[in-house]
Amino acid sequence: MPQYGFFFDQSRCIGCRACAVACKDWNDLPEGPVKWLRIYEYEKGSFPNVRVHYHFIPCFHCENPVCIDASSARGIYKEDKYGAVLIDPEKATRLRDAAAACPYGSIVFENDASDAKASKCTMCIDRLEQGLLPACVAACPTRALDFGPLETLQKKYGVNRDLEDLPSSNLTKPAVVFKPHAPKKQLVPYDVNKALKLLAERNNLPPLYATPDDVIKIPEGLLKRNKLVLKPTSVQELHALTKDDNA
Amino acid sequence: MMGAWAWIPYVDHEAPDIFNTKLIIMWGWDPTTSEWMIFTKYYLCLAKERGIPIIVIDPRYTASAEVYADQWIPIRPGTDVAMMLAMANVIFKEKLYDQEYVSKYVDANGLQKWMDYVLGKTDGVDKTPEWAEKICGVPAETIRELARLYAKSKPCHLNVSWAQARQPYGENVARAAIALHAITGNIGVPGGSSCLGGGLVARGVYDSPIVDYRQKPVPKTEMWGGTLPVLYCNWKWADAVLLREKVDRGELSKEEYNSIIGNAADNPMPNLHMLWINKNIFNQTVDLNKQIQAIMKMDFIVACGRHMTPSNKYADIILPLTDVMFEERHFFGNMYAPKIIEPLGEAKDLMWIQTQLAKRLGLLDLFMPLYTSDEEWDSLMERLHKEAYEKWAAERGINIPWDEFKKKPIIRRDVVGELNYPFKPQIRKGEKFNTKTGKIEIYSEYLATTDLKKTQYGGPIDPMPVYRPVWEGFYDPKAQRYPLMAITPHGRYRIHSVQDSNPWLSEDCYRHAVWINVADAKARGVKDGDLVRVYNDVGEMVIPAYVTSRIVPGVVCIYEGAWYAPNAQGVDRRGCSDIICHSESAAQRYPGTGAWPFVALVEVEKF
Repeated sequence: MPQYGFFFDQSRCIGCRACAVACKDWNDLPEGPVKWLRIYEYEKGSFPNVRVHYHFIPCFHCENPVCIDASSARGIYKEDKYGAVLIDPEKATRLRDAAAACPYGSIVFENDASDAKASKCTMCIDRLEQGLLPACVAACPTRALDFGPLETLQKKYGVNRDLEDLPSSNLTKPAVVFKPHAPKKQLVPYDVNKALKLLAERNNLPPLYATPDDVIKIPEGLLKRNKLVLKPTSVQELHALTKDDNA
Repeated sequence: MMGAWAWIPYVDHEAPDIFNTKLIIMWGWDPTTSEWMIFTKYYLCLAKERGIPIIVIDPRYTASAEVYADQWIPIRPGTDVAMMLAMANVIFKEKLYDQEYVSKYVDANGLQKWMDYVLGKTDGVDKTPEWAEKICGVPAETIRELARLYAKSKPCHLNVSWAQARQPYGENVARAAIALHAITGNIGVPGGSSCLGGGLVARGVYDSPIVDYRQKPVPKTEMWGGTLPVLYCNWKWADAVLLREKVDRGELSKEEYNSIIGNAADNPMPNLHMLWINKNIFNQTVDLNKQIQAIMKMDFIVACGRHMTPSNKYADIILPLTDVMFEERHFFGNMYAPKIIEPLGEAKDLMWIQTQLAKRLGLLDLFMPLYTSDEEWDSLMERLHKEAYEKWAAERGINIPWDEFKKKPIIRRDVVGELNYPFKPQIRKGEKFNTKTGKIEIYSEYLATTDLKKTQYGGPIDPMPVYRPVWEGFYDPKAQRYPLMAITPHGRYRIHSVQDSNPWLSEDCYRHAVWINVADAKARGVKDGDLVRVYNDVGEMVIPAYVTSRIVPGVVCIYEGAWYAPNAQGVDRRGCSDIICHSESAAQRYPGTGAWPFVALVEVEKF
């Protein structure tokens, strides 16, 4: 059975959401939490040794789609031509169990009602039929995305299906190839302790903080965008977590 | 949409030239958010993948710092010049400057003056890394090693963003950067840095057809070809209104008034009673509350617009405009926007509105002599665009007929030949630079010897790049009361204030929040998502807090362009950054014109 998939180069992703906007545009999705493609941006570490992680989460159209088995309504199926995992629209209001099974949270709902309508990424199968790339891939300004037969992608980019903070690919064999973000390299010396001391002081004014710990110790709950939450408990939370603070 | 901005006369190194560089320093430059050439983002990915080392210097850990940079060097905003001077100090003392280049291409007299200043011979302050570290918050050894790396990595693409120039004394940042380019021999060489940042340029992009609406020359003495004096600097318009009353009461001299508002001393004084606006201007000009006072003094405000923006809400009359992307035909730089739909409702294009006014003012022959009737307006516009296109295409040997071009307005061509970059003829062929000495001038004799009070600049401007602590900055005594320095950069999902009302962006993509460092948030009992009051002596807003380690302690960031939305008490609940930015302190300490002061000292408290 043919299997198409995505390539996501995290080392090129700037988190601009052109892909997510293109997805909503092409698929005529309303503003709000019905996000077939979710972009996450969150930070790890402390000042100044901080990293920002970007994640591209559509449906990965898994080779082992656990959502299909979990759906008591038999509302999800794997299509033959591209291996896309699709929803049967007749059964879209009975897919809570299927959604619960997906480790990536790729089945999304209009609201939190138990019979809320579910929907998900279709691999832009309608575009594929016209010979076009999925809308997200075509929109990427840094070419951090690619799409094609999974085997071709693996030949081109390798076979890595795992990325830091994502669930292990062993569970579902997602049809994706990932390239992780690039390591940092210190080109000129930078003494963090000295910098933190300098940044506390300013002329005759009182110091901005008392000790470096004020800057680098981060109590639980102070930050929100500091972890990947793929399966939030409400549509509102999902909507909030898949935004950034860049405008 | 990005292409729409390409009309701005703008030069930099062509994008593939970035591969010729040995080191990229992105100073305040975040092309993942703000640049004119969308492919700059992509070329920087390629440069990184080719192993070119990249350093980002910025008060924030931006997407550029994450994706492109090997190393992020955080710096206090408003202190860039101090760090640049310290780098120059190291470069001069260790003789790391390009002596051959400098002797050939840099004006020796001005260079000597700047070198004397940098080395402390003129003011007794040696601008060493140790001097700069206390100002910038960057350790001296980092500055010293960076200066060495910079001078030894030849060529180096040092891209200093225009962002730093959007603050008091911003012109000094721009000039200090160019001085660094010059002494390291990076101007006009492949892989170098010949100007200020923005974006890399595409190879071989066509210019645009130019529509000639008049089809006869404009008499030199009339309208835009003429010599109308500039009567006030645009961000001083509210002062021009409010202070005028003081002049009329005899409380302020004409000379002082003109100096404050950016008008030459001998010019007539402006006397504003009516405003004609066609953009969201109040939202995008410093000190919104002062502007509102001035707005209230106006007898009449006419707006032309497409949206009910904060500015348009103050208008007596709003003339609805057509959408330039869909309802009109337009050449934008290297783009063509065809007319896709008929205008909705009563919307008209701006040119039509202006033509109607010209007609009633008896200026039709000057403004739009080809106008015949409203019925023929659309066919006239079509004809003028067709003629412009055909002339342009013929000159370039393009054989695509107009009707075909309109259906698919994309023209591709092969680009051959050498890469281009600015000042190639000066370096390669020995042509003169367009300056008095014919060389790169670090010191401006004009600024040094002219009484600028008599000009529209209103007062003295430093003849060379020097460090001055910015007002509304870290070292302004006002920081006692308002200890956090707010920066207001361009946001990713707006072009200034455009698209703020687009729910696909403002609802789906982002939360408009104030960035605040972990230490500053803890000290104020603020958690991420809490509503906070951001305020100072000129304005206040209530918006959510984004608590993060991605910003220098003591600095907060509010992206510009959010639409002012006051509640009943006049507190902005959307977060228009211009409400906290001063226009007044500038007037008292600095010439009326100059860089727009888009920074502010503020306090933040839990709401």
